[in-house]
Amino acid sequence: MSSRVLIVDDEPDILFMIKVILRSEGYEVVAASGVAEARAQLSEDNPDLVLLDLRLADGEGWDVLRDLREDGRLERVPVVILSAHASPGTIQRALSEGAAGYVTKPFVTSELVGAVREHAYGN
Amino acid sequence: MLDIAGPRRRPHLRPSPSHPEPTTIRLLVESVLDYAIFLLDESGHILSWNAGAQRIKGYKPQEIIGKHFSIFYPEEDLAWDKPGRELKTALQEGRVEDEGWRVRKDGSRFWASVVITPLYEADGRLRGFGKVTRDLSERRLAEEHLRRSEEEFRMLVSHVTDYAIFMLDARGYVQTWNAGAQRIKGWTADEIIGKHFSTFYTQEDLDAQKPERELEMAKTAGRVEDEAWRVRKDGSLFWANVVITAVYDDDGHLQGFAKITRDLTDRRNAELAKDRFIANAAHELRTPLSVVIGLSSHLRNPKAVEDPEFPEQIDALARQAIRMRTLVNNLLDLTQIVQGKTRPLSEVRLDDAVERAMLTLPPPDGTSVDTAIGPETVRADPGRLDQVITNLLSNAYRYGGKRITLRSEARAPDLVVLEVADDGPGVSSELATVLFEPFKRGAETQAIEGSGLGLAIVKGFVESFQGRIDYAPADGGGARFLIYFKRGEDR
Repeated sequence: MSSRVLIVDDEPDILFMIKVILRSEGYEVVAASGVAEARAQLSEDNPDLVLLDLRLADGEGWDVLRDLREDGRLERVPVVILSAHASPGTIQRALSEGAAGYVTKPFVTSELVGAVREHAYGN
Repeated sequence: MLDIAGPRRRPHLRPSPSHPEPTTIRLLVESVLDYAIFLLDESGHILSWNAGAQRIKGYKPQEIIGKHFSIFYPEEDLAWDKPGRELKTALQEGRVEDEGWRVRKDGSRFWASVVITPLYEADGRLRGFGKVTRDLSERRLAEEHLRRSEEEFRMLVSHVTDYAIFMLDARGYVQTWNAGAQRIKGWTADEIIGKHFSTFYTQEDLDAQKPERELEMAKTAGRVEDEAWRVRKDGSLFWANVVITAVYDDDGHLQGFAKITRDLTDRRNAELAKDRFIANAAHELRTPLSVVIGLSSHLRNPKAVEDPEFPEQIDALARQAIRMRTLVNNLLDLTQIVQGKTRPLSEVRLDDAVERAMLTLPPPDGTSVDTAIGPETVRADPGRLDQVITNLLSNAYRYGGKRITLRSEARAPDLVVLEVADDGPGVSSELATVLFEPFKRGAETQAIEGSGLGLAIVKGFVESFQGRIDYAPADGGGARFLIYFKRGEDR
């Protein structure tokens, strides 16, 4: 069975691109365009990995990250942050708040795919 | 011969029977014009008179020979017998030199340099005195001139307001203060003169002993320059450029320090704003770049063409490339605005401009645009005016409601107002205050594509038409922009 990845990003074309790339790598992809959609998805689903943007239209990715880490059912789901913020402070914070990895935008396919392969649950 | 050279020597007058006075020397002395050179007897009566003496003092030889030399002294010097004292000193010291006022025959005064030397016979008996006088009035004029120019310079410095220019003594205490120092730092001269210049430093710099170190460095290197926060009288901080220069007197002793301070707070803020702008622009480029880089590297796979979503992938690629082009164009527009580049204004019919914008940017399905534009002309650059209207229209399409209205109204004789309104959710009051600043976007519209530069450009362009733009919510709560134009000469 293929691994399932939840992508949370408010840019439709970013969602589309990541979907295209990960699908061609054999992943099953679910998309959420903001905090609310991400929460809805997670309430009924246990993805093998979450790709999470930090700046979302309806809130902050940090909140989604905290939800995941505080939820007994989801706390082991690995989260890879996908963000244009590239400051060491932000990356450090993400890792200390429980993110498994961090990919800065813009990225090339191999960076994204590499991070997903490395962290997807069950690998 | 006469020997009047050199201090503290005892010259001897030696026209003795065995050494007759050479006529050439006498002729030389008599003809010298720049110096009054003459002889006094032992009690101070004039024995000889040369051409220089006549020129400087005004007396002819027959008028003055035999008179006492005190005739050359002003009254205030006679009161304490300066002439007599000078002869006495000359006898004691071998020579006396003096600079002071002397009186000419016509009563006018001149500033004189005087040397009186006692002259002795070969047997050591006092024969009299040699007196050499120079008129220093010209030198005094030069000094006076110098003093005046120093005064002018001091006035100049004291009136400069863009720079704080002041002197510190060798230990760092404020000695002078100018208008610029008062303007920049807030203290008046009375309040600050005599205080130590460390008053201007932050506690942090004081703890690091920066004031002392800067004086030390100025002493060593001649000059020290610093750019940092400094403290005003009211405790507020300003970003200062400071130059401290060590000042030495002619003998090489440290007199103190000249300190010149500029307030660069505005410049620093402008630089920070520019840095933020560049960071924002780079940030805005990241999303389209991510899509272009991600998709193009995916599409290198030969099998990508077989994907049924292939056309959508190409579309997304093109869309994001166009988005980058728009962003770059917007950045160039804003740069022109910031640089104050204007284009020549002409008279443009507002109804034509709105029509062109509607053709360029037709409303999306389900959105209606009602226009009621009069035939007035406005002062504008046609290209920039088109962009103003299309930017506002595209904002209304993306963020506004389904009903958009464009109306114009000739208000005063030389004023035309264009109103662009929609029945959408409007703008939050906190966003309304920064609506026209670059990269300010509402949280509720983050998901809608846009660079955050459109309204900044609109405002810049409208102002380049010498017009104005305001945001005022529409009656139903929707967004409403009011653009005030100068009316053309159509009426």
